[in-house]
Amino acid sequence: MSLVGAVKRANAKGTPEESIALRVAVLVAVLAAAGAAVSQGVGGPTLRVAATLGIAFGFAYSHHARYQNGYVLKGFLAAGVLLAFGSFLSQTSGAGAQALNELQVPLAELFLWVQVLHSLDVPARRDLLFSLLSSLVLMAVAAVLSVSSALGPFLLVWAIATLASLVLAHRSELAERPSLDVPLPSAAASTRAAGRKSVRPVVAVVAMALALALAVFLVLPAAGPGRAVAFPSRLANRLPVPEQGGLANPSLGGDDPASRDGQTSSTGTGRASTGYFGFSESLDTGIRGRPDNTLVMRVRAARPDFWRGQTFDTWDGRTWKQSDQRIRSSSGDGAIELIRAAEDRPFASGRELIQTVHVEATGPNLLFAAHSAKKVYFPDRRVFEMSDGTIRTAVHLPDDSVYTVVSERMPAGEDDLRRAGEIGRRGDDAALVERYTTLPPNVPKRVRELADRLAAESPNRYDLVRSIERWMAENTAYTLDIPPLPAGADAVEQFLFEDQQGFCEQIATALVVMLRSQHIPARLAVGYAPGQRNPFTGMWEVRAKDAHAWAEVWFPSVGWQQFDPTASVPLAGDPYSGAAATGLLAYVKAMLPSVPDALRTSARPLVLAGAPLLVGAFFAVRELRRRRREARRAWADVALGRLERMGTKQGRSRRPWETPTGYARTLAVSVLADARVQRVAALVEADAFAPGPPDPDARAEADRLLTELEERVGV
Amino acid sequence: MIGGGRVPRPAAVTKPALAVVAVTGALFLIAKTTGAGWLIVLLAGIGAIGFLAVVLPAPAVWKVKIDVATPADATVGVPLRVRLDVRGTSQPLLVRVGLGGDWTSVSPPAIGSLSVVPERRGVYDAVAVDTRCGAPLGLVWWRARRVCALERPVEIGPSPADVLVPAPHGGGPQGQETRAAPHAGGDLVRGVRDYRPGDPSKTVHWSATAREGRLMVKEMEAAAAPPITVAVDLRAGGEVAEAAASTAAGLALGALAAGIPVVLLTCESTGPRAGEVSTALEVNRRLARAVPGVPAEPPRGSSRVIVVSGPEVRW
Repeated sequence: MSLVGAVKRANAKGTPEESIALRVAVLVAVLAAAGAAVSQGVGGPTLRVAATLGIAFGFAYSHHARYQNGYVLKGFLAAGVLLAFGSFLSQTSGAGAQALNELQVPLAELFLWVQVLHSLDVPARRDLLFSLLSSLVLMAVAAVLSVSSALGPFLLVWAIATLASLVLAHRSELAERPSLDVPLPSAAASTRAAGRKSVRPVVAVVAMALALALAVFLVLPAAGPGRAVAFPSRLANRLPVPEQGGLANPSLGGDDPASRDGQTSSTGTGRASTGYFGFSESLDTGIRGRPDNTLVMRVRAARPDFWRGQTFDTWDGRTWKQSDQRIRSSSGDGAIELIRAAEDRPFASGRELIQTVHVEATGPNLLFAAHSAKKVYFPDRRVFEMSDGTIRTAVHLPDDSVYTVVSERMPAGEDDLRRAGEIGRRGDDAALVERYTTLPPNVPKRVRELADRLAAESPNRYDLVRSIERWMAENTAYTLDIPPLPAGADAVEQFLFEDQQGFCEQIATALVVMLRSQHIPARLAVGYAPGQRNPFTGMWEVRAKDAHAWAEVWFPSVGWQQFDPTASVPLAGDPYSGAAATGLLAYVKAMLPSVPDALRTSARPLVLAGAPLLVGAFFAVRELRRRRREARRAWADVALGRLERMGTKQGRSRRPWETPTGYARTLAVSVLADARVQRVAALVEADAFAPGPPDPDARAEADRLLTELEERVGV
Repeated sequence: MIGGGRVPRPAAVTKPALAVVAVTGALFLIAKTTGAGWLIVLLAGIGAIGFLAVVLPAPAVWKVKIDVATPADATVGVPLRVRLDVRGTSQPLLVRVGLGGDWTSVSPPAIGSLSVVPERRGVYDAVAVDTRCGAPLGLVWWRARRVCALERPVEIGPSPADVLVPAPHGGGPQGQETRAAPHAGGDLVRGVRDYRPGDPSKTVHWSATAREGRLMVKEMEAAAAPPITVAVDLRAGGEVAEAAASTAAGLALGALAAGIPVVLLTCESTGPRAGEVSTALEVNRRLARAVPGVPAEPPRGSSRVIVVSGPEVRW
């Protein structure tokens, strides 16, 4: 076949589709997909109106004009597509190095325009199925752009409409074939039956598909690249921080290091509910109060980690500070290669962790990322590195900002860490030891003695860390509600031996101080715990209350390793289950309203009492439905059924091909030997097939004869 | 025609299904390179739909039960009403009766009839019924063939060929030939009927024509014409044999219509058979039952024996 012939055949007009139900189902699917795309920021006001009203109008028009050739319309549509493509080209002509990322939204807009235009020309089932397929692509575009659960309702509606469309399209396809000639009881009953025949399979398929999709979802691997193609980065506005390289944290209000006069304050005046006191130039362990449940950022990463903001190396018994405030500026166009901390550079393992962070609430100008960051994708051309490898930006990070950080780390597990570090100074860089083992001279004796005792029982650094963690777990309690730190008291001693309760800052500080007392380099890191994984988006949802402090411990042949007895974060070398549904139960549980205790305690008796009721209700409903079915049967069916029962009892059931009169003739001359049978059959056939309304007298006569016959036969 | 099992086999993967597979593959790659979690949810949904589309039609094709009933007699090329009782599943499906039917949609359980145009002559005590099902999604189709026994065999006679019938007193192919005519060679007028194109003008019954206001012709009582004997030799097999049966049917029916007695010589599964046929039904049945083999010997004294072993007629 020639190319022209093939094109002609491909574009041949299909048989116009008559099923309005199918058309509506496809329309709902397309609208759901378009709505999903629009909800992700695709399109301006014009496109949004076109995507809702235009598509609906287009489908209505397509149905109305399904028998027309529509050559003029096709020309108009072709011109429209060209126009949309021209707009797309003009939008993307200035795309830079991050072209792929920048193309996403314009490409989605182009696709949405094509969808709108195509909706005007869907006369046949084939066209509707094409629309359905393109709605799948549109939904996929929305899925790529979405970072929240808000896509869920759109996806659910789309899935139901798609399944309904497929079922209805299949039925429409079958309806085009010649069908078995079946006598219909009545027009009304036929319409009801047809409706039921369409609705039931749709409901059944939707139920099965949803259950199966959940099962498939449980076994699918998580999305998440080892090496991503697109590295999103976006900055809602570029408001510079007051001091280049300095720390700014508007969420701390009056304690914002960029605005106050250098005096440490513990009042928290004007602090936002998301403000964490650790994202400052110092961390006062005497400060109480925790941020709330506000979502502050979403992190797309293949595995959980500590999202580190900064570290502290100088401890004075109450407050942590940073001794080295030197900054190094790194710049680049889109991708910014970092210099990295000197002690991190030797541990270039090649094992990368790519994290894309979507900022949801304005916070400090810190780029939170797993240790240790080596490359940043950030719209501002310049970032600042601290000597510990943490990153600050030159601009504020308002909500809706996006950045991507590529981190690299040694995949060290327990055995590696046990082999990696002895207790003592051996193998450590002198400058590093000097900086990260320094303690104030007044470290309480009880603290040192406890560390000495635990070190004596531990063969290596790793075991000492775990030993200290175990001791704290056995002898102290984690709580956010602790008494104020008395004036002049040592925070670690107060936590370990007096209050014996505290939260992450106290716990991590105690760990660091005790390790330093054994000449093991350690420091306090602050940032965010991984947060809760949203299994649908695959992102870690980090809330303000996830602001966290933990210890980083130096291992000579591995580098810095994070330890935290209060957060369950795997070691870098630990295997991590990468299933898509990881965290599903916890996420659903967190989304559900909490069950009152009273209800929880009374759940067992409720279940025990409810189960029999449910079983009883099941059988009652089944019986009710059976009776309804019986009631719906036409009189002729019931009468014929009575006749058949009599025949069957006498050993002669009705053959599938036998008409009622033929069957009755056989019964009349053989097993029943009663001429009344033929009269009944004649009345039944007349009732079923006569064009006029049923004759009540005839029915009454047939019923009477049937009753007489039944009495004779004993049915 | 009869054979095969009822084990379902994949019949067709539709173009929409192939398109979905292609898009799904692309989405998987995009999910792995962008980390978009919603794509995995979408893929799980597509996977579920795909699984249902592949799996659900198979049990429908496997479970469906079909009873077939046919009339006792049929003729090749003449539509025949076949009664079907389809049950065992609630999924809509397509059925095709192997006698020569087209695909017909059925929503089980259903009892109804469909039109079949028989394609082959013979006596069938069972028919093959093909079923195809793509329900409920119509993306992947399964098929199966089952053999349904008939309570009463159907005898399908050949389609009568349009052949010339020898004249009652003709002696062979060179003699006068005629189509089935009202003037059957007798002298007694049996009745009158409407004129039909081809009726000889000498048979016009003028009095009746004047009375009725339209052309009427005489139907003559058949004379005691000698029967023609048609020997049907199907040993050539295949299409040639079918053509022979068709020719024989045309000859026999034409002769009967012309009032000429016909003796058919055939070979049936029980052996050679010779016998007079007096109705179209008998002709149909005798030729339906005819199988390749040596036909019976003509009765003693047969003067006009026509041997039919193909489309041509031998005297």
